[in-house]
Amino acid sequence: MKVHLQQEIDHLKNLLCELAASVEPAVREAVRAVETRDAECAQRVLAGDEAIDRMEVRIEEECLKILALHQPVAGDLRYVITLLKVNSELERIGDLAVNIAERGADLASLDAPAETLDFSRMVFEARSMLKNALDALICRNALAAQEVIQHDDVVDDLHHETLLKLRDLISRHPENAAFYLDLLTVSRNLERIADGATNICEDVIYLELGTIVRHNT
Amino acid sequence: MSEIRPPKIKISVRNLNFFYGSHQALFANNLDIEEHRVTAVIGPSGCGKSTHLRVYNRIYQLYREQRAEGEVLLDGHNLLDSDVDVLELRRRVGMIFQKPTPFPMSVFDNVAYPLRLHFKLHRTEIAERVESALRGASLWDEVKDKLKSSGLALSGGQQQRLCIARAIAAEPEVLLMDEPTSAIDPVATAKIEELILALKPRFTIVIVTHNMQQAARISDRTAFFYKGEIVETDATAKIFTNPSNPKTEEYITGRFG
Amino acid sequence: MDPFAPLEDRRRGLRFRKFLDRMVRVASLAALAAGLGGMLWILYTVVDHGAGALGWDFLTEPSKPYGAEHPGIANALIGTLLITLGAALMALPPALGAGIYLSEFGRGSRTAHWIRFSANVMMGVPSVLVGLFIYALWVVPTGKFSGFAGSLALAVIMFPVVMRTTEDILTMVPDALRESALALGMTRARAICRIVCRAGRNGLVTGVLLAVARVSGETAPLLFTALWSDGWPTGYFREPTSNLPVLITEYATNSPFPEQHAAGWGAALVVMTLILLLNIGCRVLFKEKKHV
Repeated sequence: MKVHLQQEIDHLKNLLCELAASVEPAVREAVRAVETRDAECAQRVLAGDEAIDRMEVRIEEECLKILALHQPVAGDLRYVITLLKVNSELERIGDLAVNIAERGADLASLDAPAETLDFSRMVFEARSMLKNALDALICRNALAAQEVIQHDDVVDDLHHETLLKLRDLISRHPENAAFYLDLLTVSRNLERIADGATNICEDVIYLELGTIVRHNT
Repeated sequence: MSEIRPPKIKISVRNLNFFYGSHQALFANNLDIEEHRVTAVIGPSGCGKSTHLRVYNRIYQLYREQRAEGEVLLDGHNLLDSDVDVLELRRRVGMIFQKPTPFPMSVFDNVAYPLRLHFKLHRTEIAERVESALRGASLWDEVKDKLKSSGLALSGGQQQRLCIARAIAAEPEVLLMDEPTSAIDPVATAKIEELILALKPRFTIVIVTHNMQQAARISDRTAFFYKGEIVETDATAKIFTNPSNPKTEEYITGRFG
Repeated sequence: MDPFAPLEDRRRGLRFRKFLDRMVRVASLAALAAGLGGMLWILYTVVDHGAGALGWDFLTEPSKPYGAEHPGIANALIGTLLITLGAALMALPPALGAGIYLSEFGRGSRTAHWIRFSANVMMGVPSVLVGLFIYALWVVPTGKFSGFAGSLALAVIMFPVVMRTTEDILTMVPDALRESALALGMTRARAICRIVCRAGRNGLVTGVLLAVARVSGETAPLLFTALWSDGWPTGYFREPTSNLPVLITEYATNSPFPEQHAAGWGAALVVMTLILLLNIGCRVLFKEKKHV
């Protein structure tokens, strides 16, 4: 019983690592498609999403199987539930990457205005949050997860800043509104990726401490 | 489960030690049993769960070499005091055993026995109370046509419900159940579990079980015993999602030893 | 050595094992046949010799002195019933009580251990010694052979048997039943009388009946106590009392007359039939309710 369940859980964990290893590059490529206005790169991200969706379904089935057949309790239960939630969180982040890539493709078809925006700080913050969140999950480190959660405000602030800047740009250069609206979408999706990383970290804290920290800000 | 007010403590165990001759089986047990709740007692074989339960109605006294020290307060009075009337105590604290133990008499007489034993009742009153006890044990519909036949002629699951009916007939306050479903098939077990939940509003139930899923399904609070000590007591939902003690976690996730 | 090496070529022969199996079966069947055959042989011999003597007169006439015509057994039949009944009345209450003590209160106690031990010794004492014992203790001091003295001797034989049976039967009643009786608030005494003994009732009745059957055929202890008489058993407490086992001894062996030999066989047939009926009767009576 003990050994068998442990094997199943280890297998589940490997599957999730695979998923994470697909989602992280998707985000990276999507952002690159925006930065370089590369339609082909964007296309690759769109094409890759199908695999991510399939993997998500597979992991969910594994989780349900373990829940039904082994009826895990305590730490095992929390681990399976956490993986189940992180799984759908990762799939959602994959979708956000697709959103960003679509904007990248759109930007590639538009003329770049003289005045534009630098996303690099926000991209760095969001991606490192995602990476740290996944590390915290793999290492089951509640402290690291806590740090990531505290970092969420930084990205929120950056998004707010971007919003104000774009509002100003659109009012001054209404002829480039389509371009700026694409950038706004990118910013919003980056911010939601950071939220996703935060959610993952909250799940990690539940996993390790057994307390649900989601709504007590 | 939201709690409007803290539940009353029906039984409070304080520093209970138990001995089989010179062998100590329970070590400084402390436990609060809440009124109108189901408290499950779990733990590996030989950890003292049954021994602990058997102190509550002093049934252990049948065996001369067994002895308990400490306090078990039932509504605030130590039931281990020598001036406690054991017969009255056992009327207030009923017990169900692992194997069904119908008396060698008719179904009706089985349930009527404790009524006749403890109360002066008219025959019609006894009949009414027997019926209500059998209904309370979800057995009435199955036995109403064979009240006169032997209790031993019933199936194992029915026998156990007969014993529950017998135990609740004299209106006890507490019901002790010592692995009540371990000798019974899964369908009958499910019926008894339903029954336990249905009895909860009327009685305070303490159930010893080997079946952790059972403890998880039917109890409000769970106490984990290990080697005669109470390792952890908490809300059942807490024990089964996030136990505080690593020993508890090891036991309920099957990683023992 | 390789613990996973194939074992196919190292098999033991199956034939010898099967042969042994068959031999054990044959041996046990033979033992059964010996036992059963012995019993049937005895039955046959007794019926063969005794059937001719049977008749209404035989059962209603009293026994006669050597050589007299038409000897009966009626006085001995009644005497045996009296003596056995007396023995049962004296032995059963204390024996049942002692059995209850042993199973309910005497577990693991030293007293109980010694009682049990001496009961075993008593069961092993030859019955003729018991007769001698009562002779020395009762017959000699009072100066009278009597049916009562016979009852005393039989009671002494019955007591340990019934006590041990009672203990064994009650020990088989599961502790859980005792505990659940006590857990309802019964006293020890009530739990024992109303629940435990009730659960073991069939076994107890069977045990008692078998003990009665056993002592009703005892001869040796009666030779020293009840002795023998050709008269009707009118002086149970004061006079020698006629009884079947001694009658059989008298008629079949001591008497030189063929008619009385036949009567002895007839009496043996009657005794055997009674004991058989008692045995079979109690088996049949309690067979269906055995699951208690």
